[in-house]
Amino acid sequence: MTHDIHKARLFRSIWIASLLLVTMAVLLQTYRPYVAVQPLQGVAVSSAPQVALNWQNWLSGEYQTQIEAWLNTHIGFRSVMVRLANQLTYTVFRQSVQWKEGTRVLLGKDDWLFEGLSVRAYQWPGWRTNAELEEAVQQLATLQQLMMEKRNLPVALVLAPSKPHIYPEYMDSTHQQKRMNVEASVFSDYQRIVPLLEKQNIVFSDGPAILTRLKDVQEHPFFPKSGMHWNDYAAFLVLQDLRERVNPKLHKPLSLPEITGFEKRSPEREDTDLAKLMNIYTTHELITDEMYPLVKRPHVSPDQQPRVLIVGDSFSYQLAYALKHYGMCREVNVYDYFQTLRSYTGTILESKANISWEQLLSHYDLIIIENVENLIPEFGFGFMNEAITYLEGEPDSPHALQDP
Amino acid sequence: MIFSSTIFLLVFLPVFLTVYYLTPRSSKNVVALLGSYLFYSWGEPVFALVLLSSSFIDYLLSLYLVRHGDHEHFKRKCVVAVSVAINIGILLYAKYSNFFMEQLHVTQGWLGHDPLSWEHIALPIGISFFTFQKLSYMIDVYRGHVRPARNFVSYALYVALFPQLIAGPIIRYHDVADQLVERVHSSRKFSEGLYRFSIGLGKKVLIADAMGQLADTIFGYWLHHLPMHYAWIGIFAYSLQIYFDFSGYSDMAIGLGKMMGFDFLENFNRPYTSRNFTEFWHRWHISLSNWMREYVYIPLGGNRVTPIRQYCNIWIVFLLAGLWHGASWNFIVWGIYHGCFLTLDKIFTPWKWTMIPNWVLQVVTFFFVTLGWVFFRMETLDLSLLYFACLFDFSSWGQVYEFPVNAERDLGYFLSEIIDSRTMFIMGLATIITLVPDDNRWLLKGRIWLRDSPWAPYYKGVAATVVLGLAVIDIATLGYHPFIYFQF
Repeated sequence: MTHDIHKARLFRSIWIASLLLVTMAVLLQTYRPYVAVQPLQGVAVSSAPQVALNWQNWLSGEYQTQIEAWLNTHIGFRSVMVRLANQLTYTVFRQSVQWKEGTRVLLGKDDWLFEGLSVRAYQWPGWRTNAELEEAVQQLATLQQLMMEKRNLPVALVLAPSKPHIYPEYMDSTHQQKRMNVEASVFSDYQRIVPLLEKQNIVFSDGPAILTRLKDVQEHPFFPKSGMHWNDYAAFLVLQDLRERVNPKLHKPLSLPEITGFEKRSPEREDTDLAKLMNIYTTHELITDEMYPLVKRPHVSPDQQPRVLIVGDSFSYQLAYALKHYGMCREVNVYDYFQTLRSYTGTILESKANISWEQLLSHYDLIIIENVENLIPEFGFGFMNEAITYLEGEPDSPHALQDP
Repeated sequence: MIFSSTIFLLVFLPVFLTVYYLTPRSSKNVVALLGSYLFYSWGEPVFALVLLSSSFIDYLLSLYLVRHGDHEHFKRKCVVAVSVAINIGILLYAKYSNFFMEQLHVTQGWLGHDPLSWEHIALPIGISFFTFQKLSYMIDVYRGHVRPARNFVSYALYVALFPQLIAGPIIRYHDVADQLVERVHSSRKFSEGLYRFSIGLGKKVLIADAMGQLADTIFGYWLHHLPMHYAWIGIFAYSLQIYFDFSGYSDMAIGLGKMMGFDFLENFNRPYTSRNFTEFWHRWHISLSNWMREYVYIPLGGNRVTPIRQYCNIWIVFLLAGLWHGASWNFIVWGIYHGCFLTLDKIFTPWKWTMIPNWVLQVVTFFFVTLGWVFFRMETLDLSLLYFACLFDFSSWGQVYEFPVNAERDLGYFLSEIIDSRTMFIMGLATIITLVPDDNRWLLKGRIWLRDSPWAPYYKGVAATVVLGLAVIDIATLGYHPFIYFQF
């Protein structure tokens, strides 16, 4: 009996001491990191709080608020703890942790991953009123006309498809069912805007329609299983369509590469973004090899190729990559959400504040406005409005109405 | 600072306990007091000064009470009245003045007068709890049930002791007076406290927060379109949330108290297994029930009056209890609602209910307690009535919650979306923990095993470590909202 009591006491002492040691290890890691831990994906690291400990800051609560907020995101081994929590949810319940803000990752069938907002947009189409859609299309028509009249610069629209639109069969049954419950008479913004674009003779490529049509005849997927965006191959197929539409208007046409075959290899660049965003230890289970096209670049001198500017969302990068990597153009940059000018690899080139309209309009030969279908009709994210204002203030260009 | 925060768990608590245990026994109260004020002023820096100064006045007044014997009855009464007036005055000002001014503005609106200008007052955390404790001290000393605190540190520690400062349990002075002078510190007690704290933290973080998320989602929906079964799931989730949140906090408080050598009375005893409302209030927020009985119900005459008077007393007590929970008509109605059922209990007590199986009584009681939570959860009476309408709108059964397209940005959800497998698992677990009757043989066997088995300390240690670990990693995800391309 006494022996049991001693053993129990020893156990208690070891237990308490262990917990204290663990706590101290975490604290030490917080203030003096001694172990390198893998940072979390998709999480910005904030700087240390800029608040001094004084009577005024203490009484106002400012000091406490800032310290606590900083500690919540900087506590030692936080990334380990968050990954453990996510892993537990994933392993036990086969689901991803659902946070209120940020990008939600939804698990579909066969480990296909989907992004929450695009699924939501797919399930509940028709956010925008007809008047809003008509206004956006009218603005785009005005821009195309003004650009041609004053700068002889073609503007084309590319509608990018969302993953749920092309691969609804891989979403889980709840999400599929939800879409089916929406009345057939309710049309999505995408479905309603296409006839308006056609009516206004807008130069555009209808990505969702092209890929839906090709899906049945093509064996190669257009979206990676573990990524949110279309792949380069899908972007290339849409660019092929676009090329036919814009080349007659271009001095330097887009070249046409040849696809010689496909190879299976590990996913690259953004093709695993959703899997990585889950921040679990077994990400590799979700990532499988993807098919990538083998491209024979066209033999065209760069001088004979156009410089392209893409104004759009994150789906623009696959367009840009295909344009550049497949040798279709001389140069391509992305005006990311009309905020930052980036190279096709994402490197920052210039922020909006430092870019003049003259510089922009004189440098490029083609402007592509890209919009993923669930963001319709945010064409250019303000680019169109500002461009029209700029062009309307300009005198008529000597290049106006010249035939290319 | 709350117990389920990173700063408390990983900074304040370990540092405080280390300093506390390194301090000689004679100075432990000073360290505990300083720690408690640091804890409180972290969230309420200004009101901590009010708490300190009002505690000092109370202490001086209590000394006055002792120095003046029974022969100066009137003077003693005046002194108690002053103390009660100060404490109730602070409570009224800090907690209820916004409510009173809102009512005044409504009245002025009816009369066609311009509303008086009023700046909204932020509610100091824990004021309801420590005000009742301060009143308990003064009344106990006045009644001669206890001697006044030996020194100001002891009294200030009784009021501000951080484990129970912001969410109870409400400790009556006579329950801890001796422990403020002398208490036992041992590894056994410490580990029991740690076990209790871990279980409480788990209840709060792993169960209550998950249920809260579900309840918040459903209560946040557009009530005009909320189908009946969603509404029931929402209120059921809220019932679990409030129980696990509050009892978890009490467990943490009791556990922390043990770690510091204190023994606080229990505050919850599986209340959803109650077979009537009287039993419910013997099991739910026991410290409040005890306080109300001792300082309000019994002075009003208690059970020694006519039945009608007794029913009135019950109503008064529960009206006050409702108001104590919050300054709004909803809480008043909630108090009256419980008062009604307690009166019915009194009226039908002679029947003894022996012909009805216990489980039926338990289900019926749980049903009505759950309905009562609607008043507790909704912000206004109008919304409460709307929610009741959802709960009994049989025509909406089986429908999917949805907004008309284009009406709002945030559209509806399938039930299977808002109750994912994790939430369902937690809800099932919480239901079993909460609703399994006390006389269940497996529960009884488990309790006996926990009490008698030589393995119990190890089992408890392992269980506490697992729960603590799960809770801490869950807390670490606070503020974790990854964006796919945050750097863009």
